[in-house]
Amino acid sequence: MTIALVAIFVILDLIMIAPNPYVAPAAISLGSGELAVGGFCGELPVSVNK
Amino acid sequence: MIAIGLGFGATLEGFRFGFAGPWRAMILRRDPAGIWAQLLAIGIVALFAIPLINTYSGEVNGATAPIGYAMVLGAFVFGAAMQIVLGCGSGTLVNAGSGNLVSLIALPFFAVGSFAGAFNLSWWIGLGAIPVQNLSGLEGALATILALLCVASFLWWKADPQLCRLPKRLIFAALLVAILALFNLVVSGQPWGVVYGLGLWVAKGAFYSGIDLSGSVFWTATGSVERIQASVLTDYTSLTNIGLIVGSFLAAFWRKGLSQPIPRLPMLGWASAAVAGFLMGYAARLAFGCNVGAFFSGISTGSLHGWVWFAVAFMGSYLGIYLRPRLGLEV
Repeated sequence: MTIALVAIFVILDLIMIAPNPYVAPAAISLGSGELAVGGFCGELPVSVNK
Repeated sequence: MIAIGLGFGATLEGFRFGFAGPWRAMILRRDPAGIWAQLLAIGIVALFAIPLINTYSGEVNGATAPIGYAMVLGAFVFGAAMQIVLGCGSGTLVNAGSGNLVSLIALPFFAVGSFAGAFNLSWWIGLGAIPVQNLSGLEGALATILALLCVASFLWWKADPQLCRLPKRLIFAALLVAILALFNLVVSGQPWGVVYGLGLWVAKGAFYSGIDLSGSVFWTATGSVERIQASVLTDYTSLTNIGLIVGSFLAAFWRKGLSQPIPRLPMLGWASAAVAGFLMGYAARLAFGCNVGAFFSGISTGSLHGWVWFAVAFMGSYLGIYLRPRLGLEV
C-alpha cells in the first residue's frame, strides 16, 4: 500500500517535471569542489539566515 | 542515494534497529541495549564526520541548527508524539513500508505536519534562539565520543542489571547504520535526514494544486522554490526516504511476508495516530529535525542542538508513554 502510494507520487512528479540529465551534482560531494546545496531538516528560512 | 536509503530500510527493519522502541524499553523496563546501539552508531559516525566537515567545509555540511524556545518545544512534542505512534521519523517510514497500518495512517499526516511546520518556521524562530553552537575538528569528535560514553554509563547505572548487555544483532546493525550514514554524508554532502523530504512532497503537491505558498518565508526561499520545481528524484532526502520505505518493505517481505493483522483499535486510537503523526511532522520542523536529522545527525556532526533535542525529546517520551494507552492505542 505504502509502496503503491510512493510509486504513484513519483510517477506523477515525473510527469510534471522530468529530471534534466545534463544538470546533475557531482556523484560524490566529498572532494568535488562544489558546495552542498541539498535541502535539510536544519535549514533555516531565508530571512533568518540574513 | 536510493541505494543508501534501501540499505537504511533493510537494516532498520531486518535487524529491528529503532529509536522510539528502545527509548520506551529504557523507560518502562530499564533496558538500555537499544539506546546503547544508537549511541554506538552515533559515535562511529562522529569519529569520522566531525573532522571531515572541518576539513571539507562547504562540500560537506553538518546538521547544524540553533537552540531556541521553538526547538525545545518541538523536541518535547516530537518525543511525546513518537511514543504515541510508536514510530519515530525513520520508524514511521520503516513501519509503513513493512505493512504497519497505524504508521501508514500516521505517515501522510506526518508529511503534512512537516510542510505546515516549515510554513510557519520563521514565526517560531522569532520567539528566540541562541546562535548555532558546534563541536568541530578532532577535538570535537573526541568530546562527542566522551559525552556519548557518559550517557552510556549513566544508562548502565540506571538500567536493570539483568538487562545490561548489547546483543550482537544490535552491534552489527549499529555498524551498518553508521557506515550508511557516512556514505550519505560523503555522497550528498549533508547528513542523513527524513522530515525535510516529507514536507517537500506536500509542498510540491500544494504548488501543483495551485495553493498559494507566498505567505511562507521558508517555502518561498530560493532553495525551496528550486527544489519544489525540480524533480523529486533530485532531492537527496526524498531519495533516501523512498529507499527507506522500499528497503523496509523488501526486508519485511523476505522475513515474514506482509500479512500483518489489522489492529483492532477504537476510533479514538486511529484518530490519535493521525493527530500524533501531524504533531510529529510539525514539531520536527520546529526542532530542526526528528530523531534522525536532529538526534542522530545533529550529535554525530557536532551540533549542540542534537544534545538538547535528545534530552528534551526523552522527557517528552514519558508523556507519550503515559498517553498511549489512554488514547486507545494499546488494546
